Amino acid sequence: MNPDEAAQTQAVDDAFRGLRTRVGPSVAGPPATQIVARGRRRRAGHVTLAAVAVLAVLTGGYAAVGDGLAGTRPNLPPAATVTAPAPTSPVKAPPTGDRTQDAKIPDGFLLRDQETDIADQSNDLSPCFGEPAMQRSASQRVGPPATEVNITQHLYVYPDQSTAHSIMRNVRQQLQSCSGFPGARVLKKAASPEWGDEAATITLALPADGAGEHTGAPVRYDVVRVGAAIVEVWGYPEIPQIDQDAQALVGRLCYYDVNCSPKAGRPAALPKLTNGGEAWVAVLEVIEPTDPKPLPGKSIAAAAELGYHATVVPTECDDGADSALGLTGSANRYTAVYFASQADAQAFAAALPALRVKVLKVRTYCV
Amino acid sequence: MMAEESTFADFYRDTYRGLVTQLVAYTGDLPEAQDIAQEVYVRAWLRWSRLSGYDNPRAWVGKVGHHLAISRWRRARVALSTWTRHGPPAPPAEPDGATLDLINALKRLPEPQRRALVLFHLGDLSVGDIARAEGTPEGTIKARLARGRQALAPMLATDALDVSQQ
Repeated sequence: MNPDEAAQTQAVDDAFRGLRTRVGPSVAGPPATQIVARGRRRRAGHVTLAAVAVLAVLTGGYAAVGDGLAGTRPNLPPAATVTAPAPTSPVKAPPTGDRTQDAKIPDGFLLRDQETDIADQSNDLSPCFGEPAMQRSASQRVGPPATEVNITQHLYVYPDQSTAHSIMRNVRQQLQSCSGFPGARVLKKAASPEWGDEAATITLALPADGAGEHTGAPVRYDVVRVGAAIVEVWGYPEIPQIDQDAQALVGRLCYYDVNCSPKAGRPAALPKLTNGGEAWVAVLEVIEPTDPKPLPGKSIAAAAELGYHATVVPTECDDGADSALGLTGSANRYTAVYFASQADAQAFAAALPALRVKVLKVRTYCV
Repeated sequence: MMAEESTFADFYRDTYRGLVTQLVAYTGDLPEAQDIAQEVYVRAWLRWSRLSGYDNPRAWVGKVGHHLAISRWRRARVALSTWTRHGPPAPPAEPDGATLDLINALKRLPEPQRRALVLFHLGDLSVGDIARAEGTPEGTIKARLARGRQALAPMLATDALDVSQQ
């Protein structure tokens, strides 16, 4: 830490300590018994109010019933007459579910997202990243406790690629400032590795965070853009895994790239579904309504790494899916990629052995 | 019941000043901060049988205090519009210059950074406690602290300079 940084750190600590010293001793709260008494009065007030509400309901009910008992019938319209139902058509109505995808980054999409304590759609947005349509962050501790490193991924998705490109241009121009450490010492100057569509990296000396940990340690800050998505990956003290994570995310960010297509030699997915049309669906993951914490993003990311855009679909939109998968009830969903032939779907499934992809023939609806 | 009251009294005694200091940083006003703090502890008492089983009930009062401070601030903006009918409120006690400098500097920070700094430096919560209370990864809280402190330092220096030049 240079003398300026040390002085600034000291100034912040002094300011907070000063506030404590000035405010703390001058504060004398009422005795705890008074707080407890206020609580009791409030509880008694709630009970009284509840009793009044119950009485009001009972009184109102009695008034209504009382009218009836007195024999003065209210002037009600005549009851609807029951008529025989019209003969139903033997043809089953097509499903009318909704294939629209949630306007959020799917849970499980980031690296090790399923292992993180907390992943969120946090509002801690740096002004450098403008106004993304969606965002998600995840932070994990990596390595043994004595030398563990906290690696944070923050993904921003924009409405289109040109917006993301323009944001990235701005980020590259002000990389150090966008890292949130504008005054920090530069340990490795900004670079532009060939990751994704474009990338920028820098290593800075961590200013004091007040917790007293790792002050001066190298902070690695990587930013990568693929299509309409930009991801920040950063952590300290710097370890190779930070850069490795930034590169590993590139494959799955294909999900947010309109130009994403299957790698050479892999079959093409069906470009368009039609209402009532036949298709072979590769089912990556079934999500039942009782699943406690579904992570569809994990299978979506796996498909994206092969160049496919998987979608989370209500199974009722694909006629034949529920029975083939043995699903009952409604509100089941699955992560799916559609193909024109069984061979194509099976070739895709074979590329993802860990997911045990199932291949089914269905008739698609809700399009 | 008596044991419950006794553990609540201990908790109240140990944490009241810290909460008021934290709320002063949010509101800039000591009487207002004390008023909010007392309301928070009344609510805490009403839930004490459950709250006392939490790992860190201090985090709960800190969070509720923050929400109340924000909702009062919103209500105060509405109250301002009816000022002319009822006349101005009694003037609050004037805080000293250093307190004002810090409060003014904190107000210029993004809300998440301000909250992290106040909870850490004045609320006596660890990074992990704040992360759990905020539902945010620890790395994000560390970033908010480091970024917030970096933003705060020159403001405090500038504010001090402004005062010395007056």
